[in-house]
Amino acid sequence: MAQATETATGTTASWDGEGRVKVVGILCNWCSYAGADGAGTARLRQPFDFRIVRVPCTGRIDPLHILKAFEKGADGVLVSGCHPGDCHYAEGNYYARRKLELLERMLPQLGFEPERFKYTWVSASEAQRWQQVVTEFIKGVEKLGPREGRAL
Amino acid sequence: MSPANGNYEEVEQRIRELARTALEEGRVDYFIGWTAGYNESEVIPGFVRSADRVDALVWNPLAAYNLTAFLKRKMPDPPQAKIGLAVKGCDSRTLVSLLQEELVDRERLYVVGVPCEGIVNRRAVSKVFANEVVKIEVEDDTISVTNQDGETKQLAREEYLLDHCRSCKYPNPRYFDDLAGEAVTEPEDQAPMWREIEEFEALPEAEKDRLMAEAFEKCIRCYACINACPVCYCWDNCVCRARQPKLVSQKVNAQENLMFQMVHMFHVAGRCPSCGNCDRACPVEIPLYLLHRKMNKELKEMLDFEPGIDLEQKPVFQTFDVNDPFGQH
Amino acid sequence: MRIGVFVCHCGTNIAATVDSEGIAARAGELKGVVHTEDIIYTCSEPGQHAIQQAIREKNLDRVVVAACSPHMHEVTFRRTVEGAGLNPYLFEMANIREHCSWIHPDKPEGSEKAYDLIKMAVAKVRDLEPLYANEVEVNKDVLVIGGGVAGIQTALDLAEAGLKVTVVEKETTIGGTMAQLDKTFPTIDCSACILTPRMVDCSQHENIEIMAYSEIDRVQGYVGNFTVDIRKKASMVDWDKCIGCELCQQKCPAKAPDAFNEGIATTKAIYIPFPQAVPKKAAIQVDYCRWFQEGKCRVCERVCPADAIDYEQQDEFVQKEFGAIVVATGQDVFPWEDYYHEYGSGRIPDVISGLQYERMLNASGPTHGHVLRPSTMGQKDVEPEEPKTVVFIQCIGSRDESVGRPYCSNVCCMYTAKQAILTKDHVGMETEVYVFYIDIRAFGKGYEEFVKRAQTEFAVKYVRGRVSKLYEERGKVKVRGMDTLLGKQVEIDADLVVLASGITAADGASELAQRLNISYDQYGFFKESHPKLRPLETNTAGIFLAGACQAPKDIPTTVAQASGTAAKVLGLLAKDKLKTSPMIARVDQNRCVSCWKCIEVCPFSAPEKEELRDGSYKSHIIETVCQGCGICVATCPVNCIDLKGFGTQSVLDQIEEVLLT
Repeated sequence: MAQATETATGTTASWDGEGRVKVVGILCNWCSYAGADGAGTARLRQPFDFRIVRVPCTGRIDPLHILKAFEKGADGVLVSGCHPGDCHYAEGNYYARRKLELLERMLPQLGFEPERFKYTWVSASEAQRWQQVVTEFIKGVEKLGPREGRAL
Repeated sequence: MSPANGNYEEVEQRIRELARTALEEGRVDYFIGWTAGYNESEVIPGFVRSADRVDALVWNPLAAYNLTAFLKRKMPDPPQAKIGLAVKGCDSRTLVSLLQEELVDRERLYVVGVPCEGIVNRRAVSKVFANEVVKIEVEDDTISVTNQDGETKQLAREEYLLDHCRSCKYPNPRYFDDLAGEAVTEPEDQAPMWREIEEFEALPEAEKDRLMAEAFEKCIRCYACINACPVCYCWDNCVCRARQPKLVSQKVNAQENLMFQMVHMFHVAGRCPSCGNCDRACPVEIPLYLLHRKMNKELKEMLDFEPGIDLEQKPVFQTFDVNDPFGQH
Repeated sequence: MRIGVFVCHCGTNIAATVDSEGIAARAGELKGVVHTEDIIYTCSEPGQHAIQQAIREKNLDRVVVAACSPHMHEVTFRRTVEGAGLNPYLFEMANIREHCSWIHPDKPEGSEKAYDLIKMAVAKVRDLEPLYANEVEVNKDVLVIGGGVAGIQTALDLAEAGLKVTVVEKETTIGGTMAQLDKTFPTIDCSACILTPRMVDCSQHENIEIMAYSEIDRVQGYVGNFTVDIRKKASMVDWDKCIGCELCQQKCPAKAPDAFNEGIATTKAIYIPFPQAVPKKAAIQVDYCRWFQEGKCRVCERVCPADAIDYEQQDEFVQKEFGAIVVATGQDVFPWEDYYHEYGSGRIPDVISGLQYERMLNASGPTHGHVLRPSTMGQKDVEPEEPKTVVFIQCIGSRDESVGRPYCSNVCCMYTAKQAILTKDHVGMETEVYVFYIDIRAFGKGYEEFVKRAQTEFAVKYVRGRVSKLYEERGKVKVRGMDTLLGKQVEIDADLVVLASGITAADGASELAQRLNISYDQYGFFKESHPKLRPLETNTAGIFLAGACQAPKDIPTTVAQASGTAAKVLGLLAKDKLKTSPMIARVDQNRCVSCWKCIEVCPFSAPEKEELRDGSYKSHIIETVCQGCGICVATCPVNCIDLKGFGTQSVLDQIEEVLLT
């Protein structure tokens, strides 16, 4: 299992430290949050620069929440929910998918590098996939570094 | 856009006749159309409440205002008023959006469709003189601009039309009760043109970021954009002015201003055909089209969707397709 | 605001990589926090007691517990704070174990992140308000999907307890896989002798309605009040008239593959799967029926003494209401032919699956219990031969990453031992019987002894190793493999090879899961709510699991689980009213602009137009219908709908709090 999940510097224990990025995850309760739980139970190491907000469903996420996270200083935002067809509430991720796709396509217009936002689907049984998704996403954000002097 | 046929007077007469008949027959309480501005460089919205006032209505390539903005929920006064109004091709698309969502009462509307051959970009034209422009006239392919000193310049019409008129796919109204004049020839299979958007897209991220910051720094949060927007309807309850949840603060800085505009953008996504009312209303000339035209470009790519075309269609964000061609995994 | 923060050590689970004591002290600096404490095991009795004591002594009005995942102990701690008189919804968990201490080995980093997670939880708990559960009436009828041994057991237990049960079975008879089995391990008692009386009990029980040849079309509603559309498939036979006399089957001129006998025999286009079928009703397989395919025949119609044949029959839809649903849809046999090309992909007649062999061993099976080489069966002038050498190969579609089945199917070791013994019993002790195995997993009661008996008493030769190739040569099946204990190649000339095909998720399992809104894993098995704490429940309240649809299981485990599930259902339906979660959407009607987008998007039809006294209409969410997904909240342009417990402001505050370090 990939263990190369350390952060760029790995020395300072502060989110504000040099080279550190701040990544917010918004996860649905039923699939991805449980998948992340599973990754923890399996002791799958994951990047440190990541904080998870739990919501019942990706359908509960307004793209504006993500923009707000960026405005408040997030360097990356990762949204994850149940796979299409598997939503606990049957349809929430289908609505979310359209909104999040539009957001993803709009962000470059505001000067965001595409690597700073991703939406994906991770089920409750996909602990390893979760580790992989979060590790790769944060690597991408780390490569870009913190956002500075930004419009939003 | 094809060169102007110049039958503006004919269409103008027709609008007046249709408005007069509707007022005389009591089918409408008032008619919303375009009327002369305070000089000949401008056309502004006007409400005509009696048949003998219909001659105030005008139609020419300066009639930019999307009058459906006056239909916003709860705006009509009195609330049960029957309203007549004139719509161009693009205006009718916002009307279709409003009807799709049942945000206007179809029963109380009388819609006069106006075939349109393109509207002059008044803001660009008025900048050809350093001092005030008092008259703008269009004849065939030429725009004549006259300033307060009586000097006149001739401009190529094609270059001084509004962006979205240059690549207009729907010059004829999509929805109306009566059409004023004959439909103009629609361009065949014209793909929507996104030239300005593509040019901006091609810029490096940092440059886009800088340009957005620069543009939005100027915003004075006068809310003219959303007040002029025909599909934005929350009025006093707008989330941008709500205390909770605090999505946008009242602070005026580039970030908050952009955030405010993103709220607007996401709330009109799939409903806004980019009629440009917001751009024209902005007193500090923020290029809002960079947001809403980009949004429509993406919706076209994502869902092959153009807002305000089909009355039967559900607004795209209030429905879904399990086979949407993105976000599969 | 008086917030208490309790930071758990979880023994060393958290404290090894998170300085629980240090961050508890630091949390005292957060706005509104008046009490902090670190506890070795917060979920233990003294831990919970400490929380309650602090609530009383310090007059706390909000509580944050930083410990494991809320999926683990949120319910536990809500009860704890409620026990101390605090509203249970004024509580929030910070997940510093699964999302922190277990994934970050570095203590300073782990502590920093854990502190951030606490900050977020404190930010959220500040936004919470007391919530009060609603009550809904409960429908006490139960739907059991699947009529195998799991479904039968659950249905009988529930019916005995007085509940009305509907069993929906997709085949024409209940019985499931167990009905196909000859004997059961480790007792070698007759499968049918155990099962068929239970099937009959089911059909005769006044509280059980069996809907065979039916499938679930749509499920709506929620715990206590499900509305289910059931599709009764057209059998082309009027079951109200059919008396199960089998005359039609005897006279039918059209052959059809016999699914019940796993394809080693044929049946007729009109058929009853087996003599003890319940209900014992005929059905036409239209793909093989001459009338449907060629437009002539109608023999069955002529011979039917009950006038039951109805060629015009259409699928019928029935809508029923239930309070709880038990999913007991079982499993399928791994389709080895599609994967194991080195074993001939099904083209070698004398290589068969374990379940096919089971049918052959069965006295009412196609060979009447005689073990025969399929290559010698059904041919003119050829006397069917008994095999002299039989080879069993285990772990076919189990413990095999290369075919996408890394899991153990649980039953194959034991059924192979059983079949090896039965081979000796049916054919004779002189028969050579080999079993190729990887490991023998004989974990159940009496299982190890059973395998030992096969090895010693019945002299079954167990060879540890994998068979690399099977091919036909001179009328034999060449078995080429490796004996890894001796470290040498083995070659056996077999007359019959039986592959211990493993268990795979039932066909259509994922589609059913989607209809029920329950989770399933990558193999298609349904996911329990928690493997240890809630193994019979799904994550969807009111929907339970029984049997192999959850994971491969043998019969004793299946039956035990099925009874456990029945007990869970009884526990749920013992109440006349159910408390519904108060974490639902609510509309601030003062700000509603009546755009009705909420009504458009709600999957549950919870929002409605409510007429106010001034004659205007505003959105109103029906509390007992709302499931708390929050789609409407994200859709409402004025954000006048909020989700209790997951409020928009609390989402924004958590993000802001953690970013503004």
